[in-house]
Amino acid sequence: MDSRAPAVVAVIVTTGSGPGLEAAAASIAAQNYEELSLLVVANGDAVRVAERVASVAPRAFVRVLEENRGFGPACNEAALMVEGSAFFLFCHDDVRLEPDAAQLMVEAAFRTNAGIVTPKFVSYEDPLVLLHVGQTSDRFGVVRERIELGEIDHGQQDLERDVFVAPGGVTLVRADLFSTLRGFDPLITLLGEDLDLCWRAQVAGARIVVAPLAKVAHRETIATGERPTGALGARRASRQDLQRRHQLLVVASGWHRRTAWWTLALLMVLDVFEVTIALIGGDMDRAGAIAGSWRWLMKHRRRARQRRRQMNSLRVLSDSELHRLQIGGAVRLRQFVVTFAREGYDRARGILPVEVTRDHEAITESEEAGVGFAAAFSEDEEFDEIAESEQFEIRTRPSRIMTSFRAQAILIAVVALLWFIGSRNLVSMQLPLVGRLAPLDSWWSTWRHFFASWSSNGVGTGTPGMPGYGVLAFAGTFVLGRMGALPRLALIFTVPVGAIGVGRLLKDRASNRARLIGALAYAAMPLGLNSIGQGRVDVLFAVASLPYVVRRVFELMDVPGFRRHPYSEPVPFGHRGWRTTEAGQRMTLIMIVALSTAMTPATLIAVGLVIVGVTLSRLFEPDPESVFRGSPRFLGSLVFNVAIFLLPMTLDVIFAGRRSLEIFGLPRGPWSVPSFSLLLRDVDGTFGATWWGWLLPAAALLALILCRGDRRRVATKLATIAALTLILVTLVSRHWLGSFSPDIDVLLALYAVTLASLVGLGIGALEHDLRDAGFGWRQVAAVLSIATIVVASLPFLQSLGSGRFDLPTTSVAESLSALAPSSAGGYRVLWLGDPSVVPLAGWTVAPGLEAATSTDGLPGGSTLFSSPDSGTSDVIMQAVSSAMNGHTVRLGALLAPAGISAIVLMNSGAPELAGVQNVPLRSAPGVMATALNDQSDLSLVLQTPSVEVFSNSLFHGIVAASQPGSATLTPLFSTTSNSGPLVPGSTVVAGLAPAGAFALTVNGKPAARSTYRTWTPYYQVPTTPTTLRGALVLHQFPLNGIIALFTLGMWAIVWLGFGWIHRLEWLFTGRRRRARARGERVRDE
Amino acid sequence: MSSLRRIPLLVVLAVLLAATGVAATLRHPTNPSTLPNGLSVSINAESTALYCTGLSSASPGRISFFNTANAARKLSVSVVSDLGRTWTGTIELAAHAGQVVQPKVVDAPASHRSKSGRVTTVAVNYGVAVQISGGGVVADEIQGNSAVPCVSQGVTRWYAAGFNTLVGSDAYLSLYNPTGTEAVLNVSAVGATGFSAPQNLQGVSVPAHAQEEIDLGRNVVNTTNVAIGVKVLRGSLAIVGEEDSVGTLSFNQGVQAPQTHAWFPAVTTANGATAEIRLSNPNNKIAHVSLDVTLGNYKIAPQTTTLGPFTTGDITITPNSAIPVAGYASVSLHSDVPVVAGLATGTGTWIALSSPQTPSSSYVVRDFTGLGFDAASVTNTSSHSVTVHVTTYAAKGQVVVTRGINVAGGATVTLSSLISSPLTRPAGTYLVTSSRRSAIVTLTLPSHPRGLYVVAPLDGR
Repeated sequence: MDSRAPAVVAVIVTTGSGPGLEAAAASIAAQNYEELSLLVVANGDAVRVAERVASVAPRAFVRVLEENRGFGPACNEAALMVEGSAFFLFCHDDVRLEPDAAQLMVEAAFRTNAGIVTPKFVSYEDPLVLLHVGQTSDRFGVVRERIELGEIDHGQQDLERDVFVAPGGVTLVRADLFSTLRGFDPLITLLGEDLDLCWRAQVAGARIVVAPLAKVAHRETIATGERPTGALGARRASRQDLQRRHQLLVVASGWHRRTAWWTLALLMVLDVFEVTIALIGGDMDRAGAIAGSWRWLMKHRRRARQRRRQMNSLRVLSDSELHRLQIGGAVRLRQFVVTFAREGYDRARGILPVEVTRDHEAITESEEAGVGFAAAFSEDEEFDEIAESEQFEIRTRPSRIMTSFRAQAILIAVVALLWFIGSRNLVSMQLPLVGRLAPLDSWWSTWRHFFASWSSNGVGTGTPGMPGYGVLAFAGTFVLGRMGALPRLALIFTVPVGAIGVGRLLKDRASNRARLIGALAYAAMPLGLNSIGQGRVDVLFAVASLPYVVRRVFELMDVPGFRRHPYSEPVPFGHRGWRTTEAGQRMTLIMIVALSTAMTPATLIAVGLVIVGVTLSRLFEPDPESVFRGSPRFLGSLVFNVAIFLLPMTLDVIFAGRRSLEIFGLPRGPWSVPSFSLLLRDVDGTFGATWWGWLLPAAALLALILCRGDRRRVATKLATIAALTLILVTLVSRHWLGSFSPDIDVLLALYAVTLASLVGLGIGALEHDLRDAGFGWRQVAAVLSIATIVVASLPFLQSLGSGRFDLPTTSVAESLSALAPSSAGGYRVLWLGDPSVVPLAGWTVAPGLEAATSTDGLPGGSTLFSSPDSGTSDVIMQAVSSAMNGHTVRLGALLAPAGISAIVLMNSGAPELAGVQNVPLRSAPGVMATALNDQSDLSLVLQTPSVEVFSNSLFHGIVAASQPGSATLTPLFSTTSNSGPLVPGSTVVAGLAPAGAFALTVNGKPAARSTYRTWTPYYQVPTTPTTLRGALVLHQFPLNGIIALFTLGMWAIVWLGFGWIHRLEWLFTGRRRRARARGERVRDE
Repeated sequence: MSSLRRIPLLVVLAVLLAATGVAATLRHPTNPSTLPNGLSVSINAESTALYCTGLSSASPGRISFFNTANAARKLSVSVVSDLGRTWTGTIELAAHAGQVVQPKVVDAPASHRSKSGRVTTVAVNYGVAVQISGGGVVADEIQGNSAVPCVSQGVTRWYAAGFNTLVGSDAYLSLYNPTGTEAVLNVSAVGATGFSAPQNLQGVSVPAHAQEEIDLGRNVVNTTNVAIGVKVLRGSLAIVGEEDSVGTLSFNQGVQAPQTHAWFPAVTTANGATAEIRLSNPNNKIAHVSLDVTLGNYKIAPQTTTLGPFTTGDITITPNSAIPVAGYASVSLHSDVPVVAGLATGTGTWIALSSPQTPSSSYVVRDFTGLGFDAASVTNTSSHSVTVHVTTYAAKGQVVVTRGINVAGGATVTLSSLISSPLTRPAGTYLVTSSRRSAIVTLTLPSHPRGLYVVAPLDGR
């Protein structure tokens, strides 16, 4: 049986000059669909329309309307003229259809049972550029494209699918549906009629389908403003006005009443926000359009109610079902936020109307080339990773914020300049004796401290030298032995190095811009600046190293995105490429951690927190693609290897017994540690203890909320580490973990790394993740994030004023230099105070009370590190503890054998000088001050809020002698050498431990030694009548030196393992050749 | 799915973090500034010290030591007079043994005597410092019928109320500097006319290990109920107030800070006796003071008064028509702002001062004055009941008997049933300990009328 195709009536509505009318009519006339009729409706001004149409489509009908009532009413008029048609093909007069377009659309309508079919629209001038492939809408009636602006048609969209809106231009509508819907709404004359028709069709249960194989070129002369909007009732309205009011009408009548009220309320909030933005930017047109739309709606509220009733009578879909067909969120707000984040305010506020964003501007050559930011942060040049911009043209505009290499380089240069302005005085000022800024000994002496068999810490100890001395001495090599430069370099460069480390940490996880912001956030964190201000070089070392350590740990634990390349195939140790193997990578991490631990032992705890944090996070949110297993083994192996690399320190810890945990830090006074709110702000000092200190943590929290996908996994891990760190810091700060009290500042450095990384990830989330999220708190969070980051960086400028980041110009200790007793025999000063204040390393007596000694003056390079094993020095701790517990009033007598001439009780590292320097007060236990005051043999010689100094009335020098028949001890020998004349029959006592390490030689022969019931050796000088001369001599087997040498050797071997054995093979090869040659000669002979 | 897993993790972390933060915030760590002391602390000490001051040569003052430890102790005694003369010596004190030192006697060695044997110049006042090799030694300084404990450390703040500088009365502050540092102090007074800070009592210095006497009557003339505040600007001092009321000497031990609660466990209500609680308000706020008087089975309405800023006042306990004459009353003071209180007992002609008692957990009850006790009581200042044990020290280092008694919260009970010796005769030595640091033991010396002299037992401070 012969079947006929359904009849289709194409309706072209032309207005005014209709510049593309002929082409449109001709393209329809050329359709290969046989049952297609053409009806041209001339809207108003119809001069020569019939002739123009006839010239290209002689069989077309032309209907002339007296006035321009708009596109929709014209279509309605046309529909009334037609009977028996199955479909209407409503067309603008500026379109050009492919010959098979109508047929393909009809076929699609039948195949999918669609009520409305829309073709694929391409650019009129360049058919390769897509314009629309159907559209979607949010609940507020804001239409969103399904394609990128300017997307090239590679056939990637050629899949038939449901859409929410069939954009105007060419629309195939089933005639019965059109009749049911009562056609277009005559109130909507122009712009928005397509949304309205489709919305109502959806409500009525009709499908709307895009048929991408049907291609139509659309000139969009109305939308682009090429033609004026001259329809009746819209002549004085701008396109923006029309778009706004029609969207509002659709929303007001498109939902059930309750939903409509709620949606309108939300829309009003958004519109108020937009009006505010518009008014701030002076965009009065937009503000007027928004206000006018609400006025217009109020004016036509009856019509809106009538429409709603009509729609309810047709309604098939409920509101929730209808909403599921739409896009979630608020398209307009999201677009604003994304554009604001990427391109700044001026650009963002111009996102509406759409045509404004379509201004194409020339892309300068430099901008095209400058999309990467690599020099400072990347190992290799890479391009900006914001590849999937919604509006491709926009991202090439010169108004983008910090997406070009030039902008980023300028920002880095500015920040670097500001940093060096802020640290200008650190270059040349006399460094005060605060924190760990004790003047370093010479390069050679520092090496000697590492190898020494005996050190003067406390009352003297023979424990192995701390590896930190080795690190310092090694670093001293690079400054040609100018050891004084090292602390300055640390003060100036550690924070920037750490910031670069954060940038590297975020590499591959966020765009260069996000990395840059993360790095700057790290530099602006209060901890780094406070550490500089307090001279905490040890903490600064952690600030510099932890970002790198965290990145390495993430790589090895296979955190998503952190290992870009698989490990290379195993190669033998020492050969090239070993570094890139898994073993090599692990060894690299071990060496970095060992290096950092040598300077700041609490770094090891921080590394443990990172590993535990990642593991814990994976328990809840696994990384499916990760192949890493065995976190405990990894942690154990790391700790074990670090212990091997730091063998002297390991031995110290093993022999320290109950004090072994003190290697990680001494407990601070719970009354002087930062409060929990300060800890949350990463503040341990004066900088950042204000409201703006909350901004960066807030931004990090918002980032945690915004991140999605792999970025979210990383953010979760960072947040877990941050939370664990804060919990540990809080517990430690309150002394709830007993003697385990790692330095909280080092842990706060890890917290800073996580916060800054989260901030960077948050920026990445704004760039990539936000547009995938529906409207809601995420958008609000995004706005807040940006605001907080901007505001948080401002106070950084405030810290630049002093030129030394508020590092004091003078210290408490320096003001005590006049305390040195003039007597011979040497003397020690006992320093008591909070561990964060005392400028030398010591041991803990009680929470908040560290005890340390310096010999013959102020602390120096030999007191930077102390073994956790206090050994004989425990006599000092016990004496101090006894006094603090009210168990003695003779502290002076108890300390006199150690040669302690003065006790310095510190409450701060530097004196507070109003307007000059502001230092945090970290009081020693008040009971200690009371106890010292109560001692009958101490006298207070200096009392300020910062320090109290007591002199020991029973002081007799480190080396003293009593005359025959007298118990009174008098200082012996000079302060520079332990030798001098002796009185025959006298008794010499030396406050040097261990007693067995020293011998008193009298005229070259050792004197008898006794240590009965005391730790101080007593030497009996012979009673011979001759002149006697004695000397105290250290006799100690150089075991420490051997251990240090072994450690250095191990470092060297592993360093050679990173390919250097292979590189230096010629050395070995050469020897072998010579040896072989000699061997051959011998055989020949 | 992963987001669902992430949320529990974040919730767990947030809860843990919040819990830690709340716990850390709720617990406000404070920097302790008070040295632990007391008999329980000093008993195991490596060395301790006792300081006594205000020992007059007129009515020869003396110090009575007692060794509560089970081992002998060596005491290095250093006596310094207001003339600057010093005497040092050592005393071996056997376990559970006592000894008396009279500074006036040791201050008159041969070098200070004329050929006739008379001391050329007799000092008026003495300060004594005793260093003890170990702990557990307590001491009382006794002047006439008044006795106060020697202290083991100096103070930086000192307050006392109730001094009279009326004609016929003298009041002094006796200061001893136990440290090797010169001490500097300011003295202020609060009387009926308000606050005063006499210029010559500002910046007073006391050299290291020296004793000084300040005559309050020269600076606050002809005034009754004078309260004194001492602020030691540098160093610390052992301070005691002395009242010479028509020839009757008494010590006022004072307190280290004004208090909102104070206890006077044994206040006489005897016929012919007078007893009043003298008060001083050293604050700039009005103080509303209330006294709860417990007297046998009598119900006595609280006695109240209001003190203006920097003023003094008093509440009479005896004679008081609201308080019957029925033995010893236990008086507890409550005030909305910290005040200084003192007890003035007497006959209407003269008064003897004593300071409020401080709760502790151990007391040495010993007849240091040689007069015996008229009354011995223990008061439980807490709301919980405590068990009080009495241990009797026997000769030769033996501890003989330990007996216990339960004292309800807020109650005062007599110790006469636990102390076997007759109270009115020289008695033995006892150690009274309680299960809480809330007990106050109070003794009164035999006098007529009863209870005119209130002394505190020694708690080792």
